[in-house]
Amino acid sequence: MTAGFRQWREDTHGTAGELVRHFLARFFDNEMIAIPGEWQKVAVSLFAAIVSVAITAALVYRDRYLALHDTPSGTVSQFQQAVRHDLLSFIVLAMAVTALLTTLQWQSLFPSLRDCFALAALPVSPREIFAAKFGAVMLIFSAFVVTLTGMPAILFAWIVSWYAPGNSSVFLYLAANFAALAGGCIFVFFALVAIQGILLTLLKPHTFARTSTVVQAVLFTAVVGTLPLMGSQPKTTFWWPPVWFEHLWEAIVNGSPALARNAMLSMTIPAAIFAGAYLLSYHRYQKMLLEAQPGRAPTRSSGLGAKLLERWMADPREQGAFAFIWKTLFRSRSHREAGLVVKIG
Amino acid sequence: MLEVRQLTKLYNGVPAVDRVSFSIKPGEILGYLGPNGAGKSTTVKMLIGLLEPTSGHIEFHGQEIRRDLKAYQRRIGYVPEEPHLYPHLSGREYLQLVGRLRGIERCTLEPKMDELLRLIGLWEDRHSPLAGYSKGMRQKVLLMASLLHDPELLILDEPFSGLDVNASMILRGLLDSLAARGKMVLYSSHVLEVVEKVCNTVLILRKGHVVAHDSVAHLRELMEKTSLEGVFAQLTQPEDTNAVARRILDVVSA
Repeated sequence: MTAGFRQWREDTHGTAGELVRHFLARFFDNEMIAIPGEWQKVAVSLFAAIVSVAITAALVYRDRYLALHDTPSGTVSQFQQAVRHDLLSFIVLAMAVTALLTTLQWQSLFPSLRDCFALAALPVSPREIFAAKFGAVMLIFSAFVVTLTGMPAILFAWIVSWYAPGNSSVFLYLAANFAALAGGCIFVFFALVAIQGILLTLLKPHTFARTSTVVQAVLFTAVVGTLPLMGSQPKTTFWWPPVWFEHLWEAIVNGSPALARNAMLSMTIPAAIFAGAYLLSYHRYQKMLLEAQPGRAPTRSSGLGAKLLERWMADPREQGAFAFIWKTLFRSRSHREAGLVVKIG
Repeated sequence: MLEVRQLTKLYNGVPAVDRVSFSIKPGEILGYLGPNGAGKSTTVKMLIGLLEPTSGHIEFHGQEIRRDLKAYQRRIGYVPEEPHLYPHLSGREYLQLVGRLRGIERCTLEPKMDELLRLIGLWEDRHSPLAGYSKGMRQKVLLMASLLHDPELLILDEPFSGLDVNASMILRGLLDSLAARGKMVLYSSHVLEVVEKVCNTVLILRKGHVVAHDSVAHLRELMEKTSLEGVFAQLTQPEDTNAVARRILDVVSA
């Protein structure tokens, strides 16, 4: 069977299949997170970290619900209130992790210039390249959501159903937990990529790259900035997105579909905006990559910088080393993003 | 036959290629020449379907290529000037990717790929990442990738760049044999010695315009020059090259 699967994997499966396979394998080849070509190690480490945290958290929550269960004065509503609060914290955490990773991978969500050139002259249309990249991103995102939310959803369902007063189905809790956590992740992911899609559709090609980097930095800073506030988030406010998914959980557990409305809308609207923007802009995006304007001549202020540098450092070798490091930091995209985050922070 | 008529590409209103016309018949190797920035690579990018022309027509066997770009791309092979490769892929993996995207079945692709890797001397390095390849090795991989599907039209942008003497001789022989088999070749370069030996006809481009389009022998005769280099210099370099060389020396020794 293994040999059969290997042979199936080695076979050619049409353009779409091959491109998705290619982009999937390339997704983790990023010098920021792994040694090139060793994405499997990163994926396994990430999975192990999530499982370890989930097991530790499960032990803590088991003690908490055991204490609630054994309290003689404890009521059913007190128990449910505790479950809701804990679930809300999980949802916020899952959404924050999704937001952080999506903003970090912001530039990898669309095909790159390298993709355009490396796949040039092959019988592959830009639409197929974009669709395959989107397919690969969706597969990675699905795997990420299952990895991030699967284990906490199972363990939390098991603990809650075990100690909950009355007859409670573990499967019902499992479905509700998974839907609420995964729903939060889906909302955040599509909302962020929809922002990128809107920028791509509305902005002029030469302003897109610059604006996109600034927006990425602003979003990243905003997410990191809100992390310390996680314990004090609103618990019932209607405009606070995690509350929508907590209501989705209630809708499944209590069988009241009306409560799920906001969650369903928040998942479908950004996804529809993103898909629309993607379809409208893929051709324009490729043109933007291929026909980018050449670099601008240095401004007068850079001449002033050179004079100041001359005054500060007399040795031309020192000047050269300083100028090289400065320009590398200023011109590399990842350094520019980090600088923007620091500035915004 | 490949026929290009009045091909124009404007970047922000500035013409990079301006009303260029030529044709390549089966068995013909056209040398596409010009100094840096003349518009060679832009033309090549339009010919492979990467860039959309601002105006003009590219027809392959009488059919506008944009009507069914994928069908046209199935019949062409392309070696780019800059090797834009995925550095984390090995040479073999890259050929595998190209072969698969060209729809070649595994049973055909695998032995073909391995044989080609052996023939061009990359067998030992077939599993090394492309990031570790020299320029010549990458060029060899790109050449093999362009030939995997036995294309009718081969578009080569500086194909000899980085190749050693042995590999260059193999490529020269290969181009002759491909032409003898009725394949069409567009050979874009500014290495005139090779063009002179390999091409039947040449087209010289200057600032996006065609300044000459004829056989090498006829051009030499017409311009009363003994070599293609002389013809090229007369058509594309209005400034005094010796004076520029002297000025560079003055600046260096200042």
